[in-house]
Amino acid sequence: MSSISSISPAKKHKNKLSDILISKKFTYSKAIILFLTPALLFYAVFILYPVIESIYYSFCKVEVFGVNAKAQFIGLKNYIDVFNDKVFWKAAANTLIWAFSSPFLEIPLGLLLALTLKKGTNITKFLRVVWFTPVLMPQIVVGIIWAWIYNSEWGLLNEVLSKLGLGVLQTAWLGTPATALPSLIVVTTWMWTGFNMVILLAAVSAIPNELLESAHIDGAKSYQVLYKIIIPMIKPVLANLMILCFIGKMKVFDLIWATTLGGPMWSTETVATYTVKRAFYWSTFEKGYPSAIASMWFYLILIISIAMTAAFNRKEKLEY
Amino acid sequence: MVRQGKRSIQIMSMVLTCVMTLGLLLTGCSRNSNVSQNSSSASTKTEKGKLVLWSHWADEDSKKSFVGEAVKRFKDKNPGFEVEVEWYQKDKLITALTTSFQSNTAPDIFYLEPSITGGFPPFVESDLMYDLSKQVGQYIAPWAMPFASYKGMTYLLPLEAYMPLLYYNKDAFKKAGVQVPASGRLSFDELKDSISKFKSAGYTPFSAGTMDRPWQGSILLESVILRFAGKDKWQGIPSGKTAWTDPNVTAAIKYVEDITKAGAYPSGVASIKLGDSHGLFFGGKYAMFPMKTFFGGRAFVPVENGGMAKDFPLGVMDYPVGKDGNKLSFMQVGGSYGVAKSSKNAEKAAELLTFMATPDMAKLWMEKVMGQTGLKIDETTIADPYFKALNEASKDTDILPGPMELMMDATYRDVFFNTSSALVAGQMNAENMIKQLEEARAKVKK
Amino acid sequence: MEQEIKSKGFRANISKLSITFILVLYTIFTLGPILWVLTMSLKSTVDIRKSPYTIPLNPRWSNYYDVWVKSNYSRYFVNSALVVGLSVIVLILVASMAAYCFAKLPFKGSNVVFMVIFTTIMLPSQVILIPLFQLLVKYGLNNSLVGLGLVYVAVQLPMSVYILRSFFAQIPKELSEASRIDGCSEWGIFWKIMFPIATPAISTVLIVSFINLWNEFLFAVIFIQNDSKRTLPLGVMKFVGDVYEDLGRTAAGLIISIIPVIILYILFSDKFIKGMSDGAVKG
Repeated sequence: MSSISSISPAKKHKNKLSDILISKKFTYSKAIILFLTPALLFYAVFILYPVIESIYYSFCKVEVFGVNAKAQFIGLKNYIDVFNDKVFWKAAANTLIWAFSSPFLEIPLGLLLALTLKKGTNITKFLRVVWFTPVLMPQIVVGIIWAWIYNSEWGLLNEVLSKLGLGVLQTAWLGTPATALPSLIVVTTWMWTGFNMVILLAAVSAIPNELLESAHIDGAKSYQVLYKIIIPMIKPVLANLMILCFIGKMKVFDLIWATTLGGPMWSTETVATYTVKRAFYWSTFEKGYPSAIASMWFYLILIISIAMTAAFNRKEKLEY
Repeated sequence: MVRQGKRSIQIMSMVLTCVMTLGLLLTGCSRNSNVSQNSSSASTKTEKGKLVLWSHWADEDSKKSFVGEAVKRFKDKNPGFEVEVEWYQKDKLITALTTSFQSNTAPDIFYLEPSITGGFPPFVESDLMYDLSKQVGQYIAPWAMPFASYKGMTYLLPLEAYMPLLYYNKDAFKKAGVQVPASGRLSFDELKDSISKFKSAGYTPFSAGTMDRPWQGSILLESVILRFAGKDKWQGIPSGKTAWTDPNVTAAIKYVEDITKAGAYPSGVASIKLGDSHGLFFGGKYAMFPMKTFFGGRAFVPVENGGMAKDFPLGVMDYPVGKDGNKLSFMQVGGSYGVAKSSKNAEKAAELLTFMATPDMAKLWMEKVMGQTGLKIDETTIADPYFKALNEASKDTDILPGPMELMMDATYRDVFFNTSSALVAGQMNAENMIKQLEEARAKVKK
Repeated sequence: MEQEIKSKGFRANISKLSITFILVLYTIFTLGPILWVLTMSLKSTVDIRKSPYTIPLNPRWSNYYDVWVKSNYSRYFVNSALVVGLSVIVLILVASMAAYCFAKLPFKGSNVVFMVIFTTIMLPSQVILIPLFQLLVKYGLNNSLVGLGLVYVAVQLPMSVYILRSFFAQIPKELSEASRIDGCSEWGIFWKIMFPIATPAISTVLIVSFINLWNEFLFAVIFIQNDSKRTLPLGVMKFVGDVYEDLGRTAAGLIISIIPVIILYILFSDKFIKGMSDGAVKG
């Protein structure tokens, strides 16, 4: 910083101001404002505000419905009701099961597939597109298609099973509480494994060949190469994918709505579907309770995010 | 680490806080002002000289053309008046309506149903409906008035109405050797016995599907409870007055459990949708179809749109007579239309509805849609054999307002629906179901 | 020695076989449903119900015509292309600026701000539906594609910022240092150097957001009431009725709607893969 102590006081003051204006630090601050404002504005207006409003309503009971709604502050009563709501906990459990189990299905499968492909060949390029296509379809339509597949009367799955002589395994896949959720998890796995595969393919291809070759020469078996070399080298990618996968499964809605609607016996009810049902399909359109469900879920997610970030030990590699 | 002077950090945080607060303020004010504004300058959907109508039935041509006819007649009488009709699926319509009502952008006329989950009484209780008594009160059938009125005002035009009946495949009955007695009804025992006869003849006794409608599992059960337990007990269920452990109610549940065990329902019932269940019945391999009379709307459309073949051996009958000889049944109002109080053209909107309500339109409704109506109509003027069969089947029934779950608290109803669906899917036994229902009932009685 | 080689060869053959088996199996698993939809799109619904799994001998191209022309699909297609296209462009600009700031221009509390933004990624959109709608109405953005577009940008922001931030973080600081010394402003550094380098990550955001928004259904159906302004997913769902699922036309509608996304993917897939793995490997 330039020294200004030798200049007269009046000038000193003026210089200080203009110094600030052209100083690198102010440009730096200006830059931050410039870069961050648009995003923050979007975020504050379209996301933060609705969330805060939701949280506000969670402490109220909203008598009367519509524009004349009167929001009565009732403190924690809604939260107590949510806490005692068996359906909420079932829904929360289902959502968490979905979110926690999917990474362990989609990512290992994706990795396995990525490893079976050889770099750069035409088949690889072709399969990369083919295996990615489920990702491109809207959830609702995927739901409709798989509802047809799982249909117990004329669906593809039961057809195939009977043709393979495994007729005894035939069941109402989406109609039995025990199999409904796993069946839907298979669908989301179908949708997203290709995505993981494509990313992991790139990550694995980035591993220098010499490393792998020298390992083979040293007599390492395939699974040792996998565990000791490949996985450590792609760990950040795996972590990223697991987070994205987890996030995606926490939000699943359209798929359920197009198939089981939360049934049978709440076995596929998630927080998203339950919130919507309470907000739009209950006998009153009282907003307070569904807002409490949503807010409760938000707090839970917040805690999980913080825990996840800590667990993955993401040191801030910020350099500037 | 961060190489910034203290001043810069201060400026920074200040500015950022300002930005975010600005964003929040801009939007934060809206909440308060929304609540207090009723007819202010906020954009409302309705304008002078234009009516907006939101309706379900986006994929039912017969109903669409009926509405189209009413709109045409209205426009003929009111030249220059615009009418905009938007078609939705019920599911999304409900969401759209509730969101728009909360933001003062509701349409002038909209579809609603007085019963069934996603119920519309909230619109009524929140004083959002325009009183239609003057314009359409005179056209509403007496039995339907209780559904259409609330605290002295008429809030909806009850277009669609239906009741539960047992549709059946006459050929299947013949092949299985099941005789329908001269009285026109099987007895409960005969019904139970017929299950194994149908199975031996290669038919699935019932077509049914509980996947996409919560109430499907309870169609049969509801009528059985009514016949077993009688009027008072049945009507006492929603309020929690009647216990599920009441011997007749328990017997009804056990009856359905027994026939389920005997294989009455398709094994995959829980993954069959309402539309599918119709299609399966039309396909001919299912002997009976416990359904409500909106059946007509789905059956009598061209086959390539999912309808029934013209030569399908359709039979209609009522459920078995109750133990005490009662022939109780119920009728409910389905799809209807109401006018929003906030509409700028409420009177004109009501006028449009009158064009749907006149006796000749009521007749048109029944003929186009092949279903019943809550409007006043002289049913003798309808010649169609299907209606003759309907009337024959229900001729000496005592009609109550229904359905049973109409007045149930939503959580209680949710348990009832879920357990009923599980019961007919063979995933729940009577004991467990009664236990869960009693638990839910205890919460209601509070 | 020879025996070793022989057995190695044998083992190699078996593993080759099992690999091929896996590839084929998974391809069937992935493609199967989509090919089935393709066959359904060329049959009439009645035929589909009669024999769901046969290949159509007389392809019913009229399904596509019905969908595109008679059902206003072309209108929906244009609407979707406009809304999603513009939203994604705005999204990329806004998100990359913010991500760069988080990654390279740290300030006190920037991590907290980022964390809050990141948390809301996991919120299901149903939760903010009603307040959001009221907001749009208040500012006259209801029933407008502009309003929908703005919501789309906001909703995809957290994810995009997350991806881009990872990427920017691993750009060596020397790069910006050098430019700074040369007298370049932060604004200049960003647009002239950082943005171009970030092409892989940007491709990622482009593809992921485009897919999400192209298929977005809930906001589109609630925030848009006029049929002429509807977007593509609504068009597809038109044939799935309460009463009747028109399987043939639904299938045709679906095929039409996934074509642009496939094309986009093929065009950008290389960059996209590079972006994800670069951003993530070092991330």
